[in-house]
Amino acid sequence: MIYFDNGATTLQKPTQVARAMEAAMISCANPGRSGHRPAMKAADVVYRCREEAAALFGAPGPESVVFTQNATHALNLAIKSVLHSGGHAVISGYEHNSVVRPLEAMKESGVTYTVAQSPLFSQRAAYDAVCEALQDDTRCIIINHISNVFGFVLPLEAIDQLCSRKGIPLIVDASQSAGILPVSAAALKSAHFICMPGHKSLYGPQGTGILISCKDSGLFSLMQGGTGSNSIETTQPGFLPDIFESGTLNVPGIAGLHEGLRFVRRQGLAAMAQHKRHLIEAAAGELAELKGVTVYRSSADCHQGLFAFTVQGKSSAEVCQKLAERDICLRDGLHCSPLAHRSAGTLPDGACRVSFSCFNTLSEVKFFLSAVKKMLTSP
Amino acid sequence: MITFKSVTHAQSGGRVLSNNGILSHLVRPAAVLARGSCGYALRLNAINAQKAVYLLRQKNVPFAGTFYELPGGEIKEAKL
Repeated sequence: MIYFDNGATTLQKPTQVARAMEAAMISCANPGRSGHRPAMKAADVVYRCREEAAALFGAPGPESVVFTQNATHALNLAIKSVLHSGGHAVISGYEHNSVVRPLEAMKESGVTYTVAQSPLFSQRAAYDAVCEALQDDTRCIIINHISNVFGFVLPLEAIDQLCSRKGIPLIVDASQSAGILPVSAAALKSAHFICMPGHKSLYGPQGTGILISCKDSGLFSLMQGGTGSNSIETTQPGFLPDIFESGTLNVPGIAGLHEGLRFVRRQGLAAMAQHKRHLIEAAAGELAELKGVTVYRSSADCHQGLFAFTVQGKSSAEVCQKLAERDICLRDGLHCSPLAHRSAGTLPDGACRVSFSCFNTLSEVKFFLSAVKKMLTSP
Repeated sequence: MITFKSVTHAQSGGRVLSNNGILSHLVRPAAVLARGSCGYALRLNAINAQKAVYLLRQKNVPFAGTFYELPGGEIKEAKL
């Protein structure tokens, strides 16, 4: 099997990830609830993961690292914290439904938003569109660091500076960039929240996500319940990370995520990004020369991690199904990001997405290219 | 004994202390729990208590209280 659907979730993980999960399942109890050895062991496993994530993402401290189920969960916490009392948001034209749908749902409580639509792979246009979309009552800007459909790197630093000048909180969706590009809460002065999954380029298991809460005020919990802290009070603790972590944590998942984070640190972001860039150039370069194939790609400074393509006369579902029959795994359709497809002009059918992990190889790319060529020539 | 409302705060406190050469142990303090506060504590030698509290304040690690454990196991609040 050739797995190029790493933008959805990485399938191959470092071997330490499963080992750590298994160890946690048999040795860890409920963290932060008791003083016995399995509970203290669990607390230690969780805290070590917080420390690792805090170091990798420049968080103010381990307590600023909140464990979530996934990036969608993290984004909901972030968006509902900043906008729970209403207001206007500006979002890029490349946002996922995990941003758009919470905002739509919040319209009933007075939230409005503007999509800063811009053409694909133009960082300047993306920045200008965000500037133009600002209103007097804009309460936050939400930016997808790397588009999950096209690998377009949005101008995060420039938008962060804009937010700083205007005093507007920034929410970063780092779903596709965490583990690929440097993402630092310390460097992003206006970032209030950075949201990411654990199971993509951080190589953790599914069911894990991270919310870096860069501020410790203005927090709004989606769910209230047991935290193991302030138990005599009937109200939710207001401090991090407990405000966002009601109920028992996914300790085996966090143990696995810790190993994924350690793997990313050992490998180095630059080396892994370079490897993926090499694979993109090999795959996208040759695909672009095939008749009837349109490849969406750009230079390395604004394109990372993955790319999309379409085939004239065939739907993305048809192409990906044909390749799946040869045990090649891509993602078809809209990738839960109709906005991105609207911005790039690939609605209504969407595109085929090729997304790499550090475990993919050039020989896999060659096999994939050969399969695409065969598909194009077969009836 | 320095108490914390949350295990994460207690762990952060423990890191701050160990980075500054102060040995402490993370415990679930029964006597403090009996006062109605779920939480954790760092148990350390009383000789280091003043410095420990100073470091936690300096590093903005929130703690709930400070206590002396008397030889008979009795807990007495310490004003530090």
